[in-house]
Amino acid sequence: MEFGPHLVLALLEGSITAAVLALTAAGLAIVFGILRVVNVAHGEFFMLGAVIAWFVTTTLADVFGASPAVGFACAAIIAPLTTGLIAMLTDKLVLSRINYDPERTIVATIGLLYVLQQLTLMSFGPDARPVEAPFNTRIALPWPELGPNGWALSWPWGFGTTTYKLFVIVAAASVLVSLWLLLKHTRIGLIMRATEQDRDMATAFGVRVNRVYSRVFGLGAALAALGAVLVVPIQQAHYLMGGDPLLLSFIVVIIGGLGSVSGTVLAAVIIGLTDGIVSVFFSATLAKIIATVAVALVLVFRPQGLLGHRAP
Amino acid sequence: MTRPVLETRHLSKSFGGVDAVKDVNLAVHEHEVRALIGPNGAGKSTLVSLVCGRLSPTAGTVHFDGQDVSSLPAHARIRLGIAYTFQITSVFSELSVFENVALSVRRAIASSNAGMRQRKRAIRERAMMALDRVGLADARDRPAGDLAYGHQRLLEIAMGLAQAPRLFIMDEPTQGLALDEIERFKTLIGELSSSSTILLIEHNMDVVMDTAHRIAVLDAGELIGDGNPQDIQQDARVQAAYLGTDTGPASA
Amino acid sequence: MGPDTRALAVHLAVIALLIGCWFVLPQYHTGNLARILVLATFASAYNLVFGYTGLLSLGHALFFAAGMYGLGIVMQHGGVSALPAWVFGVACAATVGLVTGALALRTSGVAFMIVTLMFAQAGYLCVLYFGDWTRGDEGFVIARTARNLIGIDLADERVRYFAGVCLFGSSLLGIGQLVRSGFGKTLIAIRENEERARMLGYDVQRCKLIAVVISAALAGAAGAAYALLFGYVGASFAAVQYSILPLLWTLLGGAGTTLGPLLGTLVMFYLVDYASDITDAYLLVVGVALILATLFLPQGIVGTLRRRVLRWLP
Repeated sequence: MEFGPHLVLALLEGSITAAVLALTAAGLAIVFGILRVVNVAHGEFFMLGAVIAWFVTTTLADVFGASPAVGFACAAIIAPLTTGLIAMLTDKLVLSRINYDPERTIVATIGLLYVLQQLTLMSFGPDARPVEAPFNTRIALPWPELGPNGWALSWPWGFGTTTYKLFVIVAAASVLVSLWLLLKHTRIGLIMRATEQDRDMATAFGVRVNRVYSRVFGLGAALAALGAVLVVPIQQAHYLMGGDPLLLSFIVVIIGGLGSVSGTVLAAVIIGLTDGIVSVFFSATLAKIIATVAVALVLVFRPQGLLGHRAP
Repeated sequence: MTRPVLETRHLSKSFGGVDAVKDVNLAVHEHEVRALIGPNGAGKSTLVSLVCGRLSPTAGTVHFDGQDVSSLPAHARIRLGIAYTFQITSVFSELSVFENVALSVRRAIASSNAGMRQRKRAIRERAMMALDRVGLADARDRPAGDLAYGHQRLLEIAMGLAQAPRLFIMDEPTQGLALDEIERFKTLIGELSSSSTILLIEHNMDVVMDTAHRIAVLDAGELIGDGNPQDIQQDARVQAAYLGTDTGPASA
Repeated sequence: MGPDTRALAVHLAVIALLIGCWFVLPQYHTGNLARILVLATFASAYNLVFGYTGLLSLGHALFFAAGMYGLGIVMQHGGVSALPAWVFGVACAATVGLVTGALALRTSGVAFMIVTLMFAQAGYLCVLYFGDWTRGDEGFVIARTARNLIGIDLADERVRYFAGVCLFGSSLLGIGQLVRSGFGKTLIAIRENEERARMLGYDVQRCKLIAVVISAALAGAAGAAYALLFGYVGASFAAVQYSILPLLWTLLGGAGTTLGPLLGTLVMFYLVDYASDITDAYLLVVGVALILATLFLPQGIVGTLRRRVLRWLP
C-alpha cells in the first residue's frame, strides 16, 4: 500500500483509539474534577468492563443461544452498570473512609488496582478471550489516483474498515454528547457542578455531597467500562489490559487540563490520532517514552494543561 | 528620624484584575512599633506577604535596610533579618516545642562560623531564652501539636524572637490569646522595640493603642492613614472607612 | 540516656540481632533475609523522601534501576570490576535523582506523584527500548566470576548475607544520624509545614532536592548491590511495581521511623512468599495490604507502636 492510503488507515485506527480513549478519560476527568482525587484503579474498571462483557456474551450464547448482537447489546448495559456498582462499593468501603484525601486515595486506589486485577486473574484466568462483534461487515474504501486517463478511483488491497469500527466511533461520540448534556443541562449536572465548585456551599444547600461523590465515582468507572465494551470485539479481554488505558487516560486528562471534560475530549482526539499514526510508522515503545516524558514536562511547566486555562 | 528599615514604594498587587493592594508607600523606621490596621479584606495580609516575598507584586518595590529586595525569594529575605508569624497558627506539630524554636535559631546562626559544640550550645541557649520570654520553657519537650491554641501562638512568637530579627512582622498575634497572655504580649512588645522593629497587624485596638508608636490604616488596598495613634483616632477618613464597616472587636 | 544515644543503641542492637540471625536461622530464611536487607535499604531510601520530607514519590524504581543497570551495563559491556561498577551505579542513580528531582520538585502534591510516576515509566520503557544494552524484558545475568570484591566471592551465601547486613546496617546508622541532625530536622519541618519552614529562612526547594538526591543514591546503591549479590539485572525492577513496593513497605512498617522500612519489607516479603505458594495471584496480598494500611494503619506498625507505647522509638 502506498503512503496516502496507509495514512488514512492510520487515521481511521487512530479515531477508534480516540473514541474509546475519550470515553475512558472522560470518566477519569469527571472523578478528578468533582472528587479532586486521582483514581489509579481506573484502568482496572476498564478491564472489568471488557471481562464482564466477555462473561455476558458467552453466557448468553452458551445458555440461551443468543446471537452476538443480542449478547453485545446486553453486555453494553450490564458491564458498565456492574462496574459502576463495584466502583460505588469501593467508594463506600475505602474512599469515603479516608475522606477523599488526595494522597491517601492514590495509595488506596493503587491497592484497589492490584485487588481487581488479581481477583480477575483468579476467576477469569490468564488467557486473552475474544468477544464476537455484533456485526462486522467489511467496507472496502476507494482511493483517488491520477492515472493516464486523469483521476480515477482505485480499490487498494487491504484498504478498508468494518461497519463495527465505524459504529464504535459513532457510539462513543453519542455517549459523550449525552454526558455533556447531562452535565450542562440537567439538575443532576447542576448538583455535580455545584459540588465541584464549593463542597461546603453545596452541603449548605442540602446537597448530599457523599452521595454525589459516590455516584460520580460510579459514573466515571461506568464510562471506562463502556469504552472497554466497545473495544473488546476489536481487542481481546485480558486481566492485564488496564495498564495502557490508564496511562493514556492520564496523559489525556493532564494535557486536556485536569478535570475539564471538553478539554479531555479534545486531548483524546489529538492523542488518539497521534497514537494511531505514530504506532503505524514508529516503534510503539519510543512513542510511549516520548509521551510519558512529555506529560511529565507538561505537569512541570504548564500545570493547567496544554488546552486548559489557568484556574482562578 | 532614623532611616527606614522597611520601605515600600508604589507597591501594588492585583488578583485577576482586582486590586488587593494599591500603590502603597510605607516606611517603617528602626525601633518603631508600627501597627497595620484596617477592616477585614483591606489587604493587610497581602501587603505583608508582599513584604516577605510570599507573593510577588504586580508593581512597585520593597526595600529592606536600604536594599531593594523585590527580586529576592522569601527565604532570602528572611535571612536578611525579617521574622514573620502567620495569621493561622503554623507550628511543626510533630516536633517538640524546643525543636520548633531550635529550627529557627539554627537557621538564624547558620552563617556564623562557630564550632560544632559552640553552635549546639548557642542553639540551646537562644532557644530556651526565647521560650522563657513567652513563658513556655516548661513545655519544651512536649510535641508542639499538643499545646493549647493560645500556647501555639506564643510558640510562634518565640520562634520569631529566636531569630533575633531586625524586622518582626506579626499577623494578628493576639488572636485567641487569653487576657493575661495579651498583657504579657504587650510587655513583650515594649521590651522588643529596644532591639527590633515591629510591624504588627492587629484587630485588638487595645493592643494597638497600648503598643504602637505609629499606625498605618489600609482600606480596600489603599493606605488611607499613617500617623501617631492620637491623630489616627481622630482622622475622619479612617473613622468612616474603618469604624463604619467593621463592627468587630476593632470598634471596641 | 539522651534520645540520640538511645536511638544509636537501638540501631546497634538491631544490627547485632541481624548478625545473630545468621547463626540461628535455617538457610532458607537467611537467604530470604539477605534479599530483604537489600530491599529494606531501598525502602529506607524511599522513607527519607516520603517519611521524613513528606514527598510522596511514585517513581523510586527509576533510582533502584539506575543503580542496577548502571552497574550491570559497565560490568557486562565494559568489563569493569565490581567495586568501581557499584560506585558507578550509585553515581548514575544520584545523577538521575538530581535531574528528575529538579524537575519534579517544581510541582507538589498529586502532580508530584504523577510526574515521578511518568519519569519512572519513561525509564522502564527506555530499558525495553535499548535492548542491545539491557537485553530488554529478559534482562541479563552477571557471571559468577565477575561477582567478586577484592577476591571475595559475592555469590557465596554467607558473604551475601553479611554484605546485606553491611549495606542495611550502614544505611540505618547513616539515616539515623541524618534525621537527628539539623538538616534532618529541617526535612521534618518541611514535611510538617513547608511554608513555615520557608518563612524561617530555609531554602525549602534546595533541602528537598538534597533529600531526593541522597535518597536516589541510596536506592541506587541498593539496586546495584542487588545485581551484584544475586547476579541478575532485569526490567521488572524498573517497572511501576518497584515504585509501589517501597511505598508499601514504608507505609506498612511506619513512615518517618528508622526501623519501619525493615519491618515493612520483612512482613510483606513473607506474606508474598506465603501467598505465592498458594496462588498465581499473589499480588492480591500487595493490594489488600495497601488498602488496609491506608485505612487502618496510617502511621504503620512502628509509628503506631511509637505513638501508643514506646515513645522513645527512633
